[in-house]
Amino acid sequence: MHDLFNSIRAEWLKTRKRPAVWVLAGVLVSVLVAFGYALPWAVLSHPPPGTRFGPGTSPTQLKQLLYPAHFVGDALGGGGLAGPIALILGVLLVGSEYGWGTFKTILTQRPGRLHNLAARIVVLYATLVVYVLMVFAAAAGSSAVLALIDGAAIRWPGVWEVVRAMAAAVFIDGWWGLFGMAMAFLFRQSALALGLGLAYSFIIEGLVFNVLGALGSAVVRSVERFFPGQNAQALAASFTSGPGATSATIGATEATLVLCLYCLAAVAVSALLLRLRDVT
Amino acid sequence: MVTVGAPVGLAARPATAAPTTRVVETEGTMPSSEPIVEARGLSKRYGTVRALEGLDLHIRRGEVYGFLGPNGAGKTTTLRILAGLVRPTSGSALVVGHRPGSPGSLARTGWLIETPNFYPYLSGYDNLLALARSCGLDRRRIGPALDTVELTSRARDRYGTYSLGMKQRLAVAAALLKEPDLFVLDEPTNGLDPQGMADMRELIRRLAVGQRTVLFASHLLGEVEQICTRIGVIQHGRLIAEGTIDELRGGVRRLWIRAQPVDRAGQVLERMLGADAVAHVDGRFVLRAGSERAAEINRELVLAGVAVSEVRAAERSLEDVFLELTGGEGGL
Repeated sequence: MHDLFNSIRAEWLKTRKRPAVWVLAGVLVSVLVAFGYALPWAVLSHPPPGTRFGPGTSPTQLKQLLYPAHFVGDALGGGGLAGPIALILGVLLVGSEYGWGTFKTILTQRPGRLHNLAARIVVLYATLVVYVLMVFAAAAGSSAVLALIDGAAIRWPGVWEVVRAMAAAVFIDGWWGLFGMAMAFLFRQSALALGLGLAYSFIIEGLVFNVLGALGSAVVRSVERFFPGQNAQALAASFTSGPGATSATIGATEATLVLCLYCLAAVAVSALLLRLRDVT
Repeated sequence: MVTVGAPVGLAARPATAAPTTRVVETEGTMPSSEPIVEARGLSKRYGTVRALEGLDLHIRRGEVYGFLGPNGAGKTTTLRILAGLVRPTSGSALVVGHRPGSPGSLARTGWLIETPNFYPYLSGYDNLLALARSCGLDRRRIGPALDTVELTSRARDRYGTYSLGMKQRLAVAAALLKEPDLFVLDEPTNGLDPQGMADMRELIRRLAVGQRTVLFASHLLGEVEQICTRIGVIQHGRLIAEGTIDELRGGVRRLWIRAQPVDRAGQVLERMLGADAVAHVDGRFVLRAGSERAAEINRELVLAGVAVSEVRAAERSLEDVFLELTGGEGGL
């Protein structure tokens, strides 16, 4: 336990002082504020001529989604980038060590390989907690500012709902981070792990399931419940309400269980690869 | 008349032979018989490539052990196995009495394997702090370690801005943090300029005090010659020779003699040693004989009325020995 604590302190120092980690956080928050709040608000406030909204929905109604009562759903999505950013973080926390050759340095210190892996996972989650806090703060702040500008009433969701949503965000992002780590261990580098990880995230989970699913393919609907990205989306969607909310086909409990299994699988793969492979 | 050197005998031996016992002592170093590294029958295959073939290694506490071999001989693979980074295909090893790579072993060993590897965005100090934390060491050890390698003034600069020499020195400081019993330095002078090499050599000498052991793999035979108390030569994954530098040099023994008149001297020497053992080259005799016969030869020549102006043991360089042992296989 002492070795694990020491490893966590070392990993946290390295991660805390790494500029790339905070650049990622900055990108995540900026994208959320710019594309999750500022741009939609600008479009809804000054709709281009000829813009049509769905039946029964008006710009004013849609703007409600940008106000504090709904900030949890926006924050959970992280502007659509939270998952990929977590994946990049996971890859960087492992892949760079191969690139710099620092695994050799670290693994010739005292703690064993599995202690090191455990410390990395703890630090990954700790960093994601910081990311989620930043994202939720940015979303809350942005929604409050927009409500004030529009002179709308500010109603915050309950504290318990916010806490649950933050936990869910860490859980969902944690899966993507662990997936990134496992990919980096598998390929022993960042570039390939990032490329394939993001391709999977955007093409398989994003394009195939969302586009084909939207076309009403029964096969896609029956298969998607086994995929982590779809379960992550379903879990996030369970916190969304109001106009435009997604109707998830996978329940929150089922999504949580499936994601748990994927997280365990990613940790097991990482542990196996780090424990058994030579470090050259 | 000057006599130099005292060859002990051929040191080249099969890998399974018992290690030689004579050790040249350097200042502050008193090797004991206690083994600090013991490897038996280490083999490693990478696919079809055999990197190591039944390597035996026996390094005693307190010695500075030079590990020599041509490129691809298996030096770095051996060190990686001892560090626990690579698993041997067969064979076993103990480092400081523990399995390689185990916490017990790593806690008492400091490693520099191949190039120094640190985090480029962290300062030298923070790199050492991260390592100290991972080992549960007090951060107060960092200052003295940086002082030892004379890097204190640049400690707060980013590692990415360091010269190669500074990177090497930081790696030595990292190895020093644990105040280890065993330092393993794999070609620590690689890429350094002459001054940097001299500094590193001096640093290694300072490391090798008391009962500290240094396992030192180097490209440069001259450095090994200056620093090491015992040497192992590895080729094709096997230890082909091991011993002190004197022992290794003693493999082929020769005496150089200058004497007048040459004809008379030649007759006496051929009578004593046989014609095959006597050659006259560039105004001096080259004799196939060890220095233990120098006094006897000198006496016989003087008794025969020959004036002897020089008797000298022909000293081979470590490079000569190395090339003979490895069959001239280049590219250390």
